[in-house]
Amino acid sequence: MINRYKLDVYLLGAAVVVVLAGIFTLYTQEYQLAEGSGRWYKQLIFFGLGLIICLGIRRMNYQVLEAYAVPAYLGSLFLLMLVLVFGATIKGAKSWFRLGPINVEPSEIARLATILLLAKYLQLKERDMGKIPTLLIAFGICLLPMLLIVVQPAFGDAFAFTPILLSMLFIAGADMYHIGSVVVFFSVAISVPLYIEYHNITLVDPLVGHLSDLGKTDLLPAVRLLKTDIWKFAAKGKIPVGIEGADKDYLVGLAGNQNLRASLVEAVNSVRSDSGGLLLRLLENDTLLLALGIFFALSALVLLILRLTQGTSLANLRKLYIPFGVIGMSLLSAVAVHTTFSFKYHQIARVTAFINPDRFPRDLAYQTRASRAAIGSGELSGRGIFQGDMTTGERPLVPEAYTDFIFTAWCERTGFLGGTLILLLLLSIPLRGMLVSFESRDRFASLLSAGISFMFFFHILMNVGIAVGLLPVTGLPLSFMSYGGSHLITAMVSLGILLSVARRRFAN
Amino acid sequence: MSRSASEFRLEQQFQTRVYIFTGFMILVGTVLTLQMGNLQLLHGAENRRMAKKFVSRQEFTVAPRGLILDRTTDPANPLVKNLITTDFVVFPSRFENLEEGKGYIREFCRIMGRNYANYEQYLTPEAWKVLVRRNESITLLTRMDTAEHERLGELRMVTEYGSFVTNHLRYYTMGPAAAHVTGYIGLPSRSELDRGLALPYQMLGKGGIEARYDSDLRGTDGVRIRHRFVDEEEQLAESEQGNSLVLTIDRRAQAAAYNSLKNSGRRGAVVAMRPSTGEILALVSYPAFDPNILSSGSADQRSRHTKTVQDYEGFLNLAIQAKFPPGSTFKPLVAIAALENSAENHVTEDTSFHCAGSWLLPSSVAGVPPARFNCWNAGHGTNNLIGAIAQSCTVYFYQLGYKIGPNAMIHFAKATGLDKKTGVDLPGEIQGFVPDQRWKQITWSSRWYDGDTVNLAIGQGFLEVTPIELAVLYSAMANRGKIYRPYLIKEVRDPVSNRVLRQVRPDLIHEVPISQKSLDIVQEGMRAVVSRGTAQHLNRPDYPPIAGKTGTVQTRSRIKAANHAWFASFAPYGAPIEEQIVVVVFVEFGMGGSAAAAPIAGDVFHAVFPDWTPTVHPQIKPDRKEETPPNGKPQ
Repeated sequence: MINRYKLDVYLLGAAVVVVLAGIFTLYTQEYQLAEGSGRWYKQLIFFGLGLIICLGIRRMNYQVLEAYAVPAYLGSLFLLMLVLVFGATIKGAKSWFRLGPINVEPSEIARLATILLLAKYLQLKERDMGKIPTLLIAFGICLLPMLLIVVQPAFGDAFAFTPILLSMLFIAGADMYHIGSVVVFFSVAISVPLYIEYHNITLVDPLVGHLSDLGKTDLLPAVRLLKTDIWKFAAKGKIPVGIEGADKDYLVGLAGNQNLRASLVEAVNSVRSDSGGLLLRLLENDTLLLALGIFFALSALVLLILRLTQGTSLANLRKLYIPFGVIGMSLLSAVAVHTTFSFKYHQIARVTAFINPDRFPRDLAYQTRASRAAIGSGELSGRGIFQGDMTTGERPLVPEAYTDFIFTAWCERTGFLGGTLILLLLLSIPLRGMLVSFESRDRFASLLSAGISFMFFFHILMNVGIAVGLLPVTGLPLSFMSYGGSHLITAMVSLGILLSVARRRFAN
Repeated sequence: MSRSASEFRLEQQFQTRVYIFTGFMILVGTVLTLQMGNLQLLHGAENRRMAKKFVSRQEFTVAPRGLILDRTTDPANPLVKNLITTDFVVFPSRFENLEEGKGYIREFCRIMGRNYANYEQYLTPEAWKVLVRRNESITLLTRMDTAEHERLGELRMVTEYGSFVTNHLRYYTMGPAAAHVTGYIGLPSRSELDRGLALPYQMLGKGGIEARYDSDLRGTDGVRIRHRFVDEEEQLAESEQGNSLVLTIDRRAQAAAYNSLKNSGRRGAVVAMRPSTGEILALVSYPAFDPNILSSGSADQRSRHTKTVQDYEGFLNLAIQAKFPPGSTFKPLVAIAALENSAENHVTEDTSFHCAGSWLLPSSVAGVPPARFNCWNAGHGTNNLIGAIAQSCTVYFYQLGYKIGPNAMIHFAKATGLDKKTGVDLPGEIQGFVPDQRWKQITWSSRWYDGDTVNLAIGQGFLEVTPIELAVLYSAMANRGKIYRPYLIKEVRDPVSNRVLRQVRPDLIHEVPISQKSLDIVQEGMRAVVSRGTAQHLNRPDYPPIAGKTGTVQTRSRIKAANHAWFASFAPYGAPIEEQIVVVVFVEFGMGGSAAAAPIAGDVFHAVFPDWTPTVHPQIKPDRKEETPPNGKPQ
């Protein structure tokens, strides 16, 4: 419906409904308490403010933004550096400014500013999207704020830049081989070691069971002592630091004893192949990966040389040597990562606990389990608007029930029906944004609206994905719904820009 | 505007990519929705249950422990009962803030006359915050009595800020006197938790009947679900009290035994049982502990008491957990051993030996001179079997033992179970020890000497028995060789209806074949001990006729002449066996069996038969007039 103000009601409407749903949820989370901190009306106030700002920005011509892209970007970098010095440390990260009653988070602002600059840059380099330097500079634009955020330290926020960058490159026409390569490379190089380490943790219990079944009870104390270090011990006889006295003597004796050592190794191997599977055995074999990696890398090199010497007639070889090269490099770096970095137990657990939260000790996987149970308890139509037990009160059983897990709170109250409804509304915002991007005549507008849509999309994906237990827990709030003035205002500003683009998309 | 071809291609690519990404968005949305469906629709009920578990706290309401009654089975007067006490507690989480809480406690102190300083440790901001967060309480009054309850009525808002907590405390009416029989209760230790004997919040029986029959006494705990946020509770299951146990214990005997032993000022044990069934009427070990302190005292009191008791080894139950040489109390069995084989060794009741104060054991090893063995006085003259028993003539039994050899004695000692556990239903029983030739060869790498034989004949040397084993032996000698398993539990009853759930029947373990003739002779000998022998002071008209044997055991103690004292007996002599009881008394370092141990047995018999007159039992035969004066020439 195009009314005379050319207001895109779908966009605005969806956002407004979501915000109100959020405020309502916040209200129900506190209404029982005599002394609630009154989050819901604070949120309402910020919403009012944000709405005004949003509509105001909408009136502006977005092309003004194009002019101010670089200063905005630099300004956001400056703020990021400033927060490292003057910021307040909340939850272990210096990511917030405290300005009286209001908290401001510069990382959100940086994300918006980066998208702005990227849009401008990619529009300028429209024809050069196939060239490597373009990509590198685009990476660079993202890398600076990412590094500054990582220093805070806030890995979740920093990581959120990556999918936005990749999507913008994708939509701007970058060569898929290039992007794909980067994605594959990093995925493989990180996933393979993580996969191995994940199994190192979860295979300890089967090992204990296996040894008990065989009656090899003299080996059991070693496993109980070493836990996840048992694999290194079985392979190389390595005893970790921190084990002293009688325990250490026992382990040294065990390592020296040929028979016991052999039976331990045998037990380890059978457990790893039975419970871990063929894939694990393949992946943890460093020599195999090394050999494969070298094979792929060398063949890629050969193909590349062929192409360079023989000229453009063999341009199709590109389709071969890039993937080969990428696979080779990623296998090699996987081995490198696996052998050089020793991941600490809690790092691995944090990232992989969501796969099977019951295997991990209570506190590590607690958020995932609690959130899943809370969402699941909503069943079809919810437990009732005011019956959200797990997400209520000052210390709710699902932590961060007001912020990162607000979606959980909503689903507990409104069930599957309410959850899908709100998800639909939430996703309709980036979807509508894609439509705007599609219909825009101006390249900058397309890129900008796409970028903002991507930002919303990935925020929603990550937050909801965490809440339902499909992704590891990183602290990312849900746009429009999570409690927090800073996030709400930033989201409204982004929405305003989007509306501004939407308003003028048929122009030019 | 016009488009060049490359622009057009770019445009196409752009549009395609937008489609692709849109598709990706829709895919993601579907995946998320599917996962939501998975959690909510597929596993919805399961998750709802799990959420309930997150939100509510399951509590157990502890069941009251079963009562322990003595043999009179009077539920109004139990041996061990539960006292219900009430505590008054306040919850910091129900106050607005710390200041309000402080004010309330100050007012409480004013009304009840308590010292505010006692509660200051809870009233720091940090401690208060912890209590609020955990929704825990501060105990203001413990074991309230009615006076305190009334005064508390002046305090305002008692039910808003606090609540009354009922506790079940265990009360042992006989205290230390029956401590080793009853045991006590306490929270489980680490190893007990590991063995799964109890849950961390439950009380577990420790030692004695409380431990042995813990599963009967424990009952079933109720289950209550408490909501974390809203003040609602739901009792899912009521708690059920544990079963009541009826013991075989006779309170009078137990009290008499304990007091008498305590007054002697020495450590010791007393076992009183019925030879016809194996019921234990009294089982005392002194010194003991106070089960009331250990079960219901504060942690401070308990640890102090435990330390004190450990210092004097009061946790050791001397009746079943310590063994000593029986000394002269073994002589009647030696006599039986001799008489039963009279076909071979020609020993009869008239067999006599002369005692001149000491005796020379002929040497069996070349080059070794004969050894001199002394009697306990200057000489008993010549005695027959009965007289020797009555006077406890050591030299007589040396010669008797030398004559019959060790095998018969060893056989009867083992047959009457002196080297086996009696199987009494108390935890921790140990078994006695009967030496034999094979053992000696293995352990001491030397053969059995005649010296060992004669030592065995007077109940010294390697032979060691526990007081309860001796009681079983004397029960057998009173009851024609029948060995019954000693037991403490008579019945198990339902706590509400008092209906008998289980009844324990006497358990005849073994019957040692002893001829009635031998028994009659030896029993007569034992009666002579009291009527004219070493325990004459028990021969009183207000006591039932007692038969028994004194014993004095030389120890290898550094303290000069520190001997243990025994007295093993049964009464009323001549009455039907169902009415008789056996009493065994052991006094550590008691010096003389007659002087130290026998009076205690007398007290026990007197307690069980308080109104004895000689005419009570016409069936009891008068003693045979056997005239053998103490320094005796035979008549």
